[in-house]
Amino acid sequence: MTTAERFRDVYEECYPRVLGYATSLVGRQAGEDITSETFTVAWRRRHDLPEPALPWLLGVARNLVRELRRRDALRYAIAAEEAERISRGTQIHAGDVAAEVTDRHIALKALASLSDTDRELLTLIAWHGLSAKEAAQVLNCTGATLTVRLFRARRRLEKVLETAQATEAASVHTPLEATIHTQQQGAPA
Amino acid sequence: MKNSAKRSGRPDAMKVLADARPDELNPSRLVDPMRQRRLYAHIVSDPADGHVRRLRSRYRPLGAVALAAVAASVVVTVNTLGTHAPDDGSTARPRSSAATRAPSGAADVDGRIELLSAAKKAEVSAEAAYWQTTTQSRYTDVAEANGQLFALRVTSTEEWSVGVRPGTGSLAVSGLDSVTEPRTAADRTRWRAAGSPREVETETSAASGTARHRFVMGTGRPTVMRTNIDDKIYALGPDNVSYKELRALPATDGALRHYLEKLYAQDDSADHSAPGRSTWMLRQAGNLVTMPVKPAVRAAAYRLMAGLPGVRVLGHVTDALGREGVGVEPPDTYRTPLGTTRQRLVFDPATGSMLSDEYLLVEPSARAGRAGLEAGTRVDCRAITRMNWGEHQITVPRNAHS
Repeated sequence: MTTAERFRDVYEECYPRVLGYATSLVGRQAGEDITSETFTVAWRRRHDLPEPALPWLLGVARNLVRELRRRDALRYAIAAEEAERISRGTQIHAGDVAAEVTDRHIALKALASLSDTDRELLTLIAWHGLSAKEAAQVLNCTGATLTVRLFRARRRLEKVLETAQATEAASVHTPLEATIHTQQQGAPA
Repeated sequence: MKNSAKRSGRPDAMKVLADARPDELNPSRLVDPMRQRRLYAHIVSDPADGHVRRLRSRYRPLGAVALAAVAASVVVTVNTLGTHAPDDGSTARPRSSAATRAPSGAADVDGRIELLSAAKKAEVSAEAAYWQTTTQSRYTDVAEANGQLFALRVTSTEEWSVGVRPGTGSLAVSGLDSVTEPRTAADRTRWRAAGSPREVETETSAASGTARHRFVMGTGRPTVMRTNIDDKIYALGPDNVSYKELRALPATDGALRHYLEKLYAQDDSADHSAPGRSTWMLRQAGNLVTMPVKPAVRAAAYRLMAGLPGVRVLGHVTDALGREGVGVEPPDTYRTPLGTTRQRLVFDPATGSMLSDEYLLVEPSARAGRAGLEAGTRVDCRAITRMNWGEHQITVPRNAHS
């Protein structure tokens, strides 16, 4: 296989996931830009693309986002706000079952209460489908360090989930106003 | 996820979280297959491999042209209804003087350019299997190493050979005879003072702000790329087109404009402001005249360029290779780490062919200024030196990266 063919395969396979990851960091529009830059970097590196490529690609995307944050704080702030809105799951879709909406909000609220580093690690695995080993590559740390961090982050998530579920059960109608931005037309029942 | 599942024993927190992923982050919902394909075509067909990519502002003059065959002539007309009346009111200045005042680039012949194709002429050279262009590329940047700031220049040759018949492929070989070196003797002195590093870093524009780009001093190897996707050989706005589609483009002014306006509306990546629109239209028209389109289409493309609001036309300019031509500049300027730049397309009025596509420094940044780059410096340029049909595919150098 030539390097160009390998690049094509990597692109086909990884584009959706890089886009999903970038969107989770900086929203839809900046996410497209970051994805485009990420694959441009990959194309330049096509002669020695790491195998597997996905963790490396996500690492590149992550660095590009950091670069954006460093260089253009305003643009980053706007983009990150959109990403946060998405991650808080303010959109409720027609046909969503009320109980599921509630469950989702509890989970997202719990997630939002964690530290940035916990959130990043947990979503890499739960939302972006990486293994612990791959997440370690993205975050540029050792597997052992990651195992410890993941264990702790998971514990903290479990804790806030339990609390949130208990609260939710106690007072069905209160919860979401603090965490959710404007458009909660369908207040969860 | 259901509450009941979690209540019994220990809930699988990761599963709960996974189920809660917002739909907006679901890759299969996010992906627009057309956009995905377009980006791919953009990346792999980029002849500026190793250079800074300017996705939104880059012309592709490499599109190669049957211009040797198709004569078009350029007539610069001073806009008699325009604002220049007081200037030439008293003495009957020869019309050409209006043009000769322009070359500084500070003021343009604020009028319309009418590019009249001598379209009545038939195409002289017969169509063959490959449309081939050779381009001289020069790129200037500012590098820093060990506290020394200096300007570097990358020169190279590019060949693009676009197969127009079924089964033929398209190849671009860039970086032929590539040399990266200090720009001037003074730059060389500073590079030596820095210890003559083999690798140096520059700052480049990126959507995310500024990134670093590494250059290796000295000669480089060429890179070969396949630029077609099946029968699609050129990008036109957001679409990729085949040779058949290229030959079927509308040839009247109104129809071509309408066609491009439709593409513009479909191009999500386009800047949808008024100057952005002119820049976009100019880019597409500029690309078109370098592709093997029908002579009437090329003529219509020139007239379209002439009528774009905000586009500046300079009567007499010289391109990077010292050739005289008419300059056409989009209204936008671009901010780069080297300062503000402006793009200029140069056309040969005698033949109607594109001579070069260049970026000139309008206002150097402090960093560029310290490295000796002045206003007017060409920081990036591609000059077309050869365009013709060929019966055989170009040969790829043995040392080329693939």
